Amino acid sequence: MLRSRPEVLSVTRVDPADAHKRLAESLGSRRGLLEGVEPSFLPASLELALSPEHDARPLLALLSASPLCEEVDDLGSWVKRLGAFATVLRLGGLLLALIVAGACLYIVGTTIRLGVFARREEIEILKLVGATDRFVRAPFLLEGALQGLLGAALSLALLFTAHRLAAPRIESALSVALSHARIEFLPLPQLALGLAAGALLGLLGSRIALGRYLDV
Amino acid sequence: MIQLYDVSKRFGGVQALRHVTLQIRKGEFVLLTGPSGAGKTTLLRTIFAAEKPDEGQVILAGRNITRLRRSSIPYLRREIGVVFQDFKLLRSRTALENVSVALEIRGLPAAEVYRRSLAALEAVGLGARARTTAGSLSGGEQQRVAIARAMVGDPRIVLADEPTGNLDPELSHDILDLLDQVSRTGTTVVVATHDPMVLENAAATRSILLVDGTVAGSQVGARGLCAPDRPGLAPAALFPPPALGLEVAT
Repeated sequence: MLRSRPEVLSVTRVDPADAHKRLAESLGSRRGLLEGVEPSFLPASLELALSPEHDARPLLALLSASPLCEEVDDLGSWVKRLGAFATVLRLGGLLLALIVAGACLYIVGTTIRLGVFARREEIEILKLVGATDRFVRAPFLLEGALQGLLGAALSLALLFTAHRLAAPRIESALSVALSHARIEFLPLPQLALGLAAGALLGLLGSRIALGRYLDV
Repeated sequence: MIQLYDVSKRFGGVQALRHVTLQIRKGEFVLLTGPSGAGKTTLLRTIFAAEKPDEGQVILAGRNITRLRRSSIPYLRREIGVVFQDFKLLRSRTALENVSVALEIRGLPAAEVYRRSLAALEAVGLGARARTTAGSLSGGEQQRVAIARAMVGDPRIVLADEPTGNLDPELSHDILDLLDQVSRTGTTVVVATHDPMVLENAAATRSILLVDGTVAGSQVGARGLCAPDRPGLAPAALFPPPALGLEVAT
């Protein structure tokens, strides 16, 4: 009957032995907790995969009202909640990244401005004897880019250390929820992107800092 | 070579230049004189585009530099050698490095920069002091480094602002001789000064008097006093009264 409904993509029967096996797997090294627990202790169940194109609520209402069903768990609502939580996390991360980028610009800009201030006389002399803005700017831009690059490398190194220390603990603590998924460190393309972003921010910060010192 | 038409410049409440009109021909050695605050330095700075006039036009070798784009100014300055009153040397760098700067900014090969910079220092008698930091040099030596830097790029115009300002008479003579040598190579030389020794001894072809930012008089020569070998330049009393007006060279 369930298979004939348009919103149902598949039906999988999970008997108590299968459920016991799954639970044992999810407990990992702590599977010993299940010693002495009979597989029949767990109820048999049916897992329905539903089409996202159809409204699942009528089927849920039908199953909930059926005397044949003891309990109906709608995992879709959990997925939605998790999705919303992930969106909030992503937005929060983006906001944090913007704040960090602003702080990076400010710090690099201030550092370069100090350097420019200390060398303002030299800059003035260079300009007066015919140096182009590009000639005067180049070493400062390079310095800013290097600072940004080194800052990004240091941040990533700290992040890597934190990952090495914290990831095993988090994985262990959330092993049931994560089904033994591993918390991986950033992949190489993202690491390269992080370094490039650091260098770019440094470059931008020094470009802003140079400002009026070139007006000679 | 240098033409100023109705040039005025104001700094806050001070009118530094008032409707200045003058022409300086190619190869001339001109003394720009007048009391402190007369506008001599402002006039020089206007010529190498360090100041933009509020009114009027400055034309260098047929180019109106008041309309020059900011990005073109460095290339204009490479055609002008400037000797600043306070030398404007990098004190922690050697004499050679100070001179080299003027060529490095042009992107010349290092070997050429070295060869020409050393030659420029030798020309001003400082070849032996090339490796000495500018801060360790005497005032006269620093001034000569500044002249070497101004000359190393083979400029068409040399501007010198009070080049003998802090020097004793003997050193001042040396500096004037150097500027005279520069002038004899066909380079246009303009020297701003209020040093009586310079006015009496410089081998100038012409002297221009500035008072309160205006051209108060012009005098052909002064060179006759010390450079009789240059024909066509007769000694004359310096700076006739302003009523005589401006002599415009053509």
